[in-house]
Amino acid sequence: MSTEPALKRARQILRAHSDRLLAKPNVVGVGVGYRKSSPSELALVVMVKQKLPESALAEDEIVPSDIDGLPVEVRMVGEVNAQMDASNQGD
Amino acid sequence: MAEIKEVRRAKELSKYRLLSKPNVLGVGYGYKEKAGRRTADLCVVALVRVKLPKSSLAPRELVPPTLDGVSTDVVQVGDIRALQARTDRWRPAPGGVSIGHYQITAGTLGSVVRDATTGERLILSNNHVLANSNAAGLGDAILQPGPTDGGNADSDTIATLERFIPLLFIKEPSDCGVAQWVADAANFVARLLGSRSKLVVVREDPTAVNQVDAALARPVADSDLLDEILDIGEVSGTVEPTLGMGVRKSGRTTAFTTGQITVLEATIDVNYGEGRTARFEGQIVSGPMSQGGDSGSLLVAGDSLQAVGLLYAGSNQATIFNPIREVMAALNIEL
Repeated sequence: MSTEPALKRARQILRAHSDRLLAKPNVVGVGVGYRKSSPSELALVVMVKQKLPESALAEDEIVPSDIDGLPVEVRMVGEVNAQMDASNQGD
Repeated sequence: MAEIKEVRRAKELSKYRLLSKPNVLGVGYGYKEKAGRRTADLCVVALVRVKLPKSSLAPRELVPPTLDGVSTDVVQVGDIRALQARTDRWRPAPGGVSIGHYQITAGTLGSVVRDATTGERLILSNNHVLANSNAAGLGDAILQPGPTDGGNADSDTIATLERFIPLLFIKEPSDCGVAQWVADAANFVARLLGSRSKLVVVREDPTAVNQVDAALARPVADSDLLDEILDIGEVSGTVEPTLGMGVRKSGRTTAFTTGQITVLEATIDVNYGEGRTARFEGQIVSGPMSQGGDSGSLLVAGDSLQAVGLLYAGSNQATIFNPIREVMAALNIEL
């Protein structure tokens, strides 16, 4: 399980890098979560509109696999919309 | 032991007599219960609002122990109301039903909360549900059900807009007159040239960050509000979200759903339609447990009646919440 110091460190890394990650074209959000493959290990979660192969991305668009020793996990969340009833929304 | 044919016959013969007794709401047949356990005996069942001791009933009010040789049972069912949809009109209205500013579609009435200073009961939901994403004026009509669900200002105004936290957009169509005039002129020229594409001026402010999408409405009549949330109950107090925590919500569109918190401290960009995007920080993310119309639902812990967050956004893969403590601090309310 994550300990308080581990969570604190993950938050610090998140804060230091969130702006840079959010500037990448496909990135919708960033946060802290557990790794899917190892649910007791913390990761920096990068939420993207769609998962693309690295070959389809420019070098500066690729999300690194770890940052300052913290694993990075890319998850597809799609388009995040405010959830009023969509019956006459344009989207 | 009575055969089902005999039991049905006894029920048919006696139902009107049973229904005429003051406490009986319904008649049917089923297995007799003894000491809280189902037996193998079929019997005629009288459904009553409240079970009363025999001593407090007149002889003619009692359900006889047998009818035509078939035994009877009395089952307490409480008040029975027609099942109402969350998109219906509710008075008094609980949390989890349709609500909305008169110019929007519909969202969810999150919960009744109290003003931390005056103690008055108010309705909690999102800015984009009660304040039309900043476009509303204080005192505007709030309808239950929301306009999309048939609510109209004459008969369904349950509250008026009390206060809201303005949303800051990192991207929105410009309201700058000159820029729009240039765009309009360009569009006019483009139309003359047969182009179908339209130029929209977009204003960007990448430094604008939000913590909450939240607003309050003041009920027209205090008695129009129920403190409980449909399928959850009465929530009081809050609990800090943790990774992996089981959570639940009750909303207009997808009703009662459960999920798990997957990401915390999230910074996330949310699409508000009409070219507007708002960035939020410090948010809670769960697996998918909502759809359009669920905005405003209160997120409640899975194993207690404590509030965790306020639902406002989502995708097919995730649902996003404001931390409830940020909402309460920003709006000066208590739960």
